[in-house]
Amino acid sequence: MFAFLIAALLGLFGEGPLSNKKLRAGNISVEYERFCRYEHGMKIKLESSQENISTVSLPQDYLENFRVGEIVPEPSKQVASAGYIHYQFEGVQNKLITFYLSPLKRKTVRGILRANANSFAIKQTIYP
Amino acid sequence: MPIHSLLNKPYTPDMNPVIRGIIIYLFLLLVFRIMGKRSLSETTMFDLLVLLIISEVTQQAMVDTDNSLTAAAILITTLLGLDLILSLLKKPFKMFEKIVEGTPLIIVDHGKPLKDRMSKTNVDEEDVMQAARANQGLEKIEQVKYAVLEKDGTISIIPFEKDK
Repeated sequence: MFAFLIAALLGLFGEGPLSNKKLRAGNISVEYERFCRYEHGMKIKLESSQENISTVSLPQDYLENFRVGEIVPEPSKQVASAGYIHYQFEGVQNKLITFYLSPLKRKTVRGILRANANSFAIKQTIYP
Repeated sequence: MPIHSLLNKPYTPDMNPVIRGIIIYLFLLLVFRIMGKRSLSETTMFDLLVLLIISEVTQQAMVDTDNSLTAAAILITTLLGLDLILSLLKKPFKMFEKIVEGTPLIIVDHGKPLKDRMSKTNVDEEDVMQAARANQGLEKIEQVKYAVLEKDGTISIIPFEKDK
């Protein structure tokens, strides 16, 4: 019982140090929850230390597992091509973008997220 | 307008369910401790209604939009775990037991009501007499040797020996 609680407290089932994952490529970092729960909202945060984030691309087969609730700031354009949804952002010095997602399936999902010219391999486990 | 902006923004709390469970448990423990033992045993219709509202508010605070099976399992384990920890701590640390549950309190001593204690614990003479009539068939407070307010809020009556 206490092992389960400690694991939960550490974030093995979401929201905790074990769950928070930060990837970095170039000047951009992506922060997300490695462990999520079914229909429980989570976010993916993209942050740039220097350049403006103009395009974020997410694989369509990855997005099939989530309901996209809100994107902050709102993208000016969304284009689907080559199995990806490309979110384009207008603005100067736009260094922070947050995607609010709600998991719709109970499984492990993988996907390559792209921000500007950088790629990030994301893996998330969605608990029931 | 992008389609996602028409949807509701999913709730994204940053607080771990274990921590939420611990905060609610300790808060309820504190509130019921402050309210006093008598409030637990004297439940009127309105008190029952308040308890139902408290349970609803507590449920919302703990679960909110997180209806996953995993969150339910975590919260149940947290509450049971805290209960277990508290009961384990009570055995070796008597002081801890006193703080959490309180101690039995004598409120009538040899037929004399101890007014200070009674007012502090929100018990009146009528409550004592009600317990005396129901449990011992006594008619007067002078027949009560000791009345003790127990940890669970009930009143125990110890009458004088019959020859007295």
